This record gives sequence, structure tokens and C-alpha cells, in this order.
Amino acid sequence: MKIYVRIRRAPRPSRLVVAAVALVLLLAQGAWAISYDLTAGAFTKTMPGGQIVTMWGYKLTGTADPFTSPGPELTVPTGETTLTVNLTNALPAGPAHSPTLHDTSIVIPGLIATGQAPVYQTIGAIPKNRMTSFDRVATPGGGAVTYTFQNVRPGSYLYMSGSNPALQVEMGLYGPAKRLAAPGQAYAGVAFDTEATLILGEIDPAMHAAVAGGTYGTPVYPSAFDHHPKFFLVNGEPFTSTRAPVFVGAANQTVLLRILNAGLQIHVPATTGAYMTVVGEDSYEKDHPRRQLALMLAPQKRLDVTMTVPDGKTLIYDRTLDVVNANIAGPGGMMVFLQSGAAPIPTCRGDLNQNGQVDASDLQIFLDSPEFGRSNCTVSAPCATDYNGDGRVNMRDLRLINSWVGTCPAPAAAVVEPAASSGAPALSRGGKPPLNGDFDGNGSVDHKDLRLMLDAVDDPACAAGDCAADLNGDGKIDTADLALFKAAMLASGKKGKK
Amino acid sequence: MKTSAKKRTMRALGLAAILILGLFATAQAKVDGLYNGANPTFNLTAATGYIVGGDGAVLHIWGLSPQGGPVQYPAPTLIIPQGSTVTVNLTNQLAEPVSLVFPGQTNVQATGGIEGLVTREAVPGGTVTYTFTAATPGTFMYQSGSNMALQIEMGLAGAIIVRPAGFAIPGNMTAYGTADTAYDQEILYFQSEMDHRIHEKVDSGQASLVDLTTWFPYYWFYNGRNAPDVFSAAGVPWLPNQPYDCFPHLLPGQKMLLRIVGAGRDMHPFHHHGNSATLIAVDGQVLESTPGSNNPDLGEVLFTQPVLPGQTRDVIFSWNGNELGFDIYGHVATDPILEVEVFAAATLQDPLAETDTGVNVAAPSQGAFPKRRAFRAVLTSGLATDPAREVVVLRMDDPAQPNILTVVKRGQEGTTTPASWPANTSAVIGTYHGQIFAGPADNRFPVTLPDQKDLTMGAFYSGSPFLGAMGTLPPGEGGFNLNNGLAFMWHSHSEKELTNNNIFPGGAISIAIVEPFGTTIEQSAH
Ligand SMILES: [Cu+2]
Repeated sequence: MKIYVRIRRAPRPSRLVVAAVALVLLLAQGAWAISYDLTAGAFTKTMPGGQIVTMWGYKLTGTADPFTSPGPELTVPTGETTLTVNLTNALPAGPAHSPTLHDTSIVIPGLIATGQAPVYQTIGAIPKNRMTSFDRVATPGGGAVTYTFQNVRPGSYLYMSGSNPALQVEMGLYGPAKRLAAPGQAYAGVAFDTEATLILGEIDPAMHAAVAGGTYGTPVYPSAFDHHPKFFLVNGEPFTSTRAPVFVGAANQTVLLRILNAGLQIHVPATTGAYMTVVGEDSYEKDHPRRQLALMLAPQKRLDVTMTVPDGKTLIYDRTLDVVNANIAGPGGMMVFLQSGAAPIPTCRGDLNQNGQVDASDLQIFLDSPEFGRSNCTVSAPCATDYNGDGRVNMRDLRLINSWVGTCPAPAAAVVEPAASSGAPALSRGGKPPLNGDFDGNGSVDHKDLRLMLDAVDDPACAAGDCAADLNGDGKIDTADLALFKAAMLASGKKGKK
Repeated sequence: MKTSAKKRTMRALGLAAILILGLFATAQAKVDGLYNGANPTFNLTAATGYIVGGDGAVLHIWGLSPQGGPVQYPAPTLIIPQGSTVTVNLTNQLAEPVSLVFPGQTNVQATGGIEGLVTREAVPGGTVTYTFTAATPGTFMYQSGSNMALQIEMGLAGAIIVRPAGFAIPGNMTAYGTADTAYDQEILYFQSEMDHRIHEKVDSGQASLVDLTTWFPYYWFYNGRNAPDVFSAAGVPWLPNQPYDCFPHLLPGQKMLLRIVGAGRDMHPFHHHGNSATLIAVDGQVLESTPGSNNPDLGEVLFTQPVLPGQTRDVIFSWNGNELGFDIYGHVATDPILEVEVFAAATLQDPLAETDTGVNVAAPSQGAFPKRRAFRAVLTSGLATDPAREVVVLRMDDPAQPNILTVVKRGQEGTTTPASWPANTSAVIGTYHGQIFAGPADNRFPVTLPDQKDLTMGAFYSGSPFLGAMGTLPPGEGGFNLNNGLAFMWHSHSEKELTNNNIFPGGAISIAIVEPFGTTIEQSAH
């Protein structure tokens, strides 16, 4: 929820003010401030290769939005100079050995919160008074703090946790903020047609596992000193073959790119073609913009870049070559395409590799996609493979794309979910031991069994616990069963070869 | 690829060193590469090969070979006249698709091959063709656009030099076609690194075990070679896959253009000892206040160049020894004063009177003299060749009054009361011309060199503090500095990079030599 509040009257924003009223207030003259309510919380994310990592992120308080990293973009309107953030901490409690580890706060480098008050604690193996937070903290379990930032200049900003930042920012507690000098102007007189924000980040899954398991700060994972990232992100996502490009409108327009580094390492955003013009740095306009092919982007650095994006796709990638996903061969990591021209429309729904029809390779792409397993797809953070539009990319969507194999369904056509094969005799446990994937009993575990398994996704018998396709017997057919099925299929194939 | 016949300036002692060290006695400042005239076609083949590290290690690489030649690390430097339409035919002898991208070039078109992620790719055994227009002059890079993290590490990257219209060697050597981008010598610094563990896995068919997120380099290269191999001449037969050297030479007062290319993954702080230098362009774009002027009026004077991955930098370096504190050229006071020996000069505002304790210099050059520190100068009739000159030590005590230079000392013996100023004195020249470094005849600057037994010699030490002069050296010493020039290390200041697989010295070390006047320096062929 985004609301405006009159500074001199109400230090706390009223959550009842609705957007329409806010717009009227925005048009009025006077000292008005914009206020955002953010909640920090944990979520999980499936990485390329299937690894599931615990993330921390933000959402707008009181909404049904999922937590995301980066968090929602905070826009300070052209006529405003004050940004208020009401932060609520919904993170899990800190571990017993370091109970304040999950206390959190918001800082915005380049801006100073009114009444900023660092937090010091006597901690460590050699007890010393150390600063653990740059500002007042919200404690887990709903603690709340309001931060007011005044004198917001035009430019791009990075908001992030100011508490144990080496840990918390890496966990995902960062997001973009911005203010324009005027509509269509990054700085006074620096015009653009469209804009996009690119935030760089990194994930070391071992660090995230340690945080989730309460072992961060113990000999298992002592500190961010041991940070060795395996995934490199632009706007929270590593590059995969299914990553959607950032659409920047018609060809040959001037695109303003706000490029921010929320990672712990230096990265070098670069292009393989057109020049980028650096018009601003750290929310200060450049007197003499330079045209460059590679940009120095140290951690916490903010660059404003304009670029004429030719028709088609333009690659922005990290020239320190963090363009891989863990040990997976091939391109990945810190890459994103800008796409100009007409908005891209796939020929057929489910044709992920755009070769003209849905086939087995699209199934593979679907299963490998980091979207598979997501349960927080929204309009603002959509999932391209959430075919039934239920906000989740799960077995149901797999069943849908599986049912389209060999066809080319029109993208605009309504999605009809196949009926569950209720009561399919082959799938009833009927008191017998599980069939371990050979549902049709033909002696091998193969694609026919996959079809039967997927058809049983909505079978009431499964919810009742009498369902052979529910291989782990937990009352639902999900990715865990799929993993068991895959293993059974592999084992079956090996036997067959003998 | 073979360079023209070497101009050898040997001396007897040097010859012995050559035989021992296998070093060609060349003085060079040149960029080697492929030159096929205007509107050129380059036929390049991506293939595997092996190079030699500075420690003798054999390292597996993927490189590009020019038609009929050996595979190269780095990829061949393409030298192209401005305005050319360039065709690059890339044939792939690797086991995975490969492609090339040309950042900063205009109208890049790819035909043939298959569609890849970034551009069209050549499949194993196949060919893809790229065309582009080399519209603007400058220093650029080309590199793989396929599986970049692996393929660029393996060696698929090279430099592109676009010569401005009207360029000629000799006669009109400029980086960007304008007077302030002119130079006398040029050198390429193509910087890359290598984690040999990755290369070993690829070589042994274990590419699938490579985890590029654990990349940690052990070798650092200039123009594809580690120190000390950078000192061997370009094209030596024992480095068949590393044809480029990195051994800059220049004369005092000359401008040397450094074309620096960051082709690796790390930023390297490149330090050119001897002097600060002017960065005139980045990524082929002149640092200019008037767009399109190619006039580097926004150039930056830097002592260390932070070389970003994916970046090119054009830097102009010059050295002239004029403020060393002694006369490195070994002149006596009555010799002609050379332009390079002068660090500031101005005419006098008033005639000198015998009682004057300061000199009054005229605008506009008055601010050129050092501030708040004593410096050596001569008072003359304005002609540098006039032997009737007075040596003085002056100091600008108040920078707000730059026209007043206080006389600190006068005369050969440093007295402040000589009989008279020289006749017709009309100018003051800041110079160490004629200032003797050491020797029994001159006790104004009493320096005695340490005994040889107390010294560790370097391969570049001539044994003498004077340019072009050789001192006595123990047998086998010196040898890399055949004309007795002055040697400066030009290197990465990430000092751990001065190693070959953890052994010092090696890696990102090169030596620039300021040669004595009269030395012939071989220049680029195209
Ligand atoms: Cu140095």
C-alpha cells in the first residue's frame, strides 16, 4: 500500500487513505511525503538445478503479495523530497547463540534517516562493543520502526538492511528506490523515453542454509567472510534459457537503466554491442557523461545509464564473467536481455524454446526452470509457466504442458485443465504396496506412467490416501513424488538395458 | 606474423648476454597483428592449442588461428583502417558452438551458422560470417559470444585497432586523428588471466567437472605471455602460439601510446612507473567536452590505470628526466640545453641588478615553475646554446605571487655573491642540465655508488646512472638493457599477480626502457 501523508501533521501514516485520495493530495501544493509500508520476511526460491534456498525479502505490508527479493520499487514522486518507510519485521527469530541476528532495519546509502541511531552490542568471542546495526531495529515477530528520509535528490537509490548487512543484504533484503527530476527526466534536462532497473545480487546457498538452520555465526558458517556465491542475479533471478527479457518499448528509444549493485563483489555490467552513456552516479548527475562498453559497479554503487536500444535483443551481462549458474555448464548468472520492438508473443503456449511446437525439450526446460516450484506468482511478479493462473508453478502446470506435447495451442486460448482420472484402478493402492512408478504394470517405468501420474493430481482418492501415484504417501502428488518417480524411471531404464 | 629483420644494437657485453638468455637485441615499440588493408577479410579458425607459461608450464588453450597459421593466445590483433567494411569468417574446430562479438563496432551482421544466445554461432566443423563497419578509430576488443565464462577464460578474445583516416607510419601517427592524440611509439597491453585447473580439466575431457564459480587465477598475461617471456621478441620460434611480446621502448620526450585492453575477469591496477600518464580515451571513446571532436580535453592524468574487464584504455606516456635532480644525459653546463631537459621557462620582466635577491619573471609562463620548493635553473640570454649562463637555485615562496622567484644559491660553488650576472640575461630556464650526479670533480652533489659487492644486480641495470652509458658490471649481469637505457617496471599493482603459479617473479610484469638518444626503435608495420 502506497500512501501520502502531510508531514507536519501526521508522523504516522494512516492506512485508511486510499490511492485516489493520495493522488489528489499529490497534486496539491505543500510539503507532502510519500510513505511505504514494508514487511521483511522469509521465503524459498528454487535455483537452477533444483536446489531450494531460503531467502529473505520484502513485501508491501497488509497485501497478499509474496515476499520478493529485490523488494518493491519505492518511487518518490517528482514533487516530493521526503520518503518514509514503515518497516515491520516478520523474519523468524534469531538463533539462540545470536538472538539479535535477525533484527533488521532500513538504510538508503546517500540519504540519512531522521534520528538515525546506530545499535551497539557487546558480543563476540572477545567481548567488544560492536555496532550491529546502522539504525534502530525492528525485532522479529512483528516489531516495527519508521524511517524518514528527507532531501531526496533525483536519482537512483538502493534501500537495504542496515543490520548485520553482510548477512542480511546477501539474504535478499534490498530493493530499488528512485526519484525523477521531472516526468521523463532522470536529472534536470537528462531525458529518456522508457526506464528499467537492474539490481545485481549474489547467492551463496551454503550461507542461506546456515541461516535457515540456525548455524550462521557458528563454526559451520562463521561469517560472511566465507561467502562464495554460486548464483549471480539480476533483479533477483539468475539467467536461464527461459528468462524473459526486460521489455523496453519501441526500438531506438532512449532507455534509462538504473544499475545498482546489492552484491558483495565488484561486477562490470557490459554490452556486446551498443554503447552505454553514464549520466549519473550515486544520485549525482555527471557533468561530462562518458560513453562506455563496460561499467565499474562496486558493491552499493548506483549508476544511471542511458542507452539507445536497437530493434531486437540487447545483452547486458557481467564482464567479470559471473555468467554461470553454480557448476551447471553453459550460460547463466548475471545476464539479462533488453528487448525492444513489438512486445514478444510466443507462437504457441508452452513452446518454451520457441521452435514452433510443444515437445519433450520444452518439458525439460519447464522442469529445469527456477519457476518450477514457485508459489508466489503475481501480476507484478508473474510466472511465465503458471499456465492455470493459480499463482503456483506446480504439478498441475506440468500436467498441462505435458498434455500439449505434439501440439501448438494458441497463447490466447482458454486453458482447460484435464479432468482427473478419478478412480483409475491402476492407481489405487487398494491396500497393496506402492507400485513404485510402474502404474500401468507393463514392467517398466516410462512416459506412460508419467501421464497416469499427472492425471492423478486431482484424484480425490489421492487426498484420501489411497493413491499409488502418491509415491511418498503424504496425501498429495507434488515435486517430491516427481523426484521419486524420476529415480524409479532411471532405475527402470538401467534394468532394461541389462 | 614474422616480424621484419631485427635491428640489432649490440655491444660486446650484450652479445654474451644474448647467447645466455636467448634474447633478441631489439628496441621495439610496435603492435603486431593481422593487417589486410582496407575493407579486409579475416579468416579465423577456433581451435585448441597449447601455450607455455613463464614457469615453463604447458597450458591448454582455445584460441583463434589466422589462415594457415598456428592457433594464437590471445586471438590475433586485427589492425583495420577506419571506414572499412570488415568481414570475419569464423571456422569452428572446437567441440562446442562458438561465436564472436565486436563491442563498439557498428552495423554488426552475422550470417550462416546457427542462431545462438547472443549472436549466430558456428557449430563444430561449421563456419559463421560476421561483417561490421569500423566506423570510428580507437582500441577495441572482440571476444566469444558463446558460453562466455568458459570460452573467454580459454582464450577466445583479441584486440582490434582501428587506424584513423590519414594514418601513416611514419608521418601521421595518431590514435584518433587529432593533434592531441598523436604519438611517437605505441604498445599493446592485452591483459588476461588463467586458472590453469580449468584448462587441465578441459584438456583431459573433464569439462563437465568445471565449476567456474570457483575460478581462481594462477597466471597473468600481457599480450598472451607471462614475465619473463614478455621480453623475448615477437614471433620467436620457441613461443609459436604466443607471437606477441610486451617490451616497450621510447626515447626521452617522446609520446608513447599505451593501448590497454582488459580481457580477463579481474580488474588490474596497471602501474606505469616513471611518470604519470594521460588517459585520452576509454572503450574507443575520446574523453572530450565537444562530442565528435576527438580532442581529449577531458583526459585524466593518472599514475595507475584501473583496467576493467571488458574495457579498453588509450593512455599517452612520456618521460624526459628533466626534474630528476641530476642530469641523466651526462651533459656539462656549457652543452646545448635540449628541450626535454627543460621543465619550465620564462623571460625576465626586468633586467637583473647586482643587488637583486630574486628574479621577476614575465607572464604567461610564470606559473609553470615548482611551488614552495627549491629548483635548479639557469639564467641565459634566452638562447639555449648560449654558453654564457649562470646556474642558480630558485624558489617560488608564495604561489600567489608566481612572478617572484627567490634566489637561494648562485654560481658554481653555490655562493650568493658572484662578481656579476652574465651579460644580456633575459630568460630563466628550469633545468637540471649539467648537474653532475657524482664524481670527484664535483662536490656539490656528492654521491658515491655502493660497492658492487653490496649490490644485487637486475637484468636491466646498466651500472651507470647516465642514459646510454655503461658502468662496470660483474660478468653475466645486465643484458636485457642493451643500449644502457633507463628501465621502469610497468606492472599490475595487485602484486600477487607478479607470479607464475605462485613463483615470483613472473606474471603481469613488463619493463619499459627509455633508450638514449640515437637508438633506433622499430615501429608497427601497419
Ligand atoms: Cu609499481
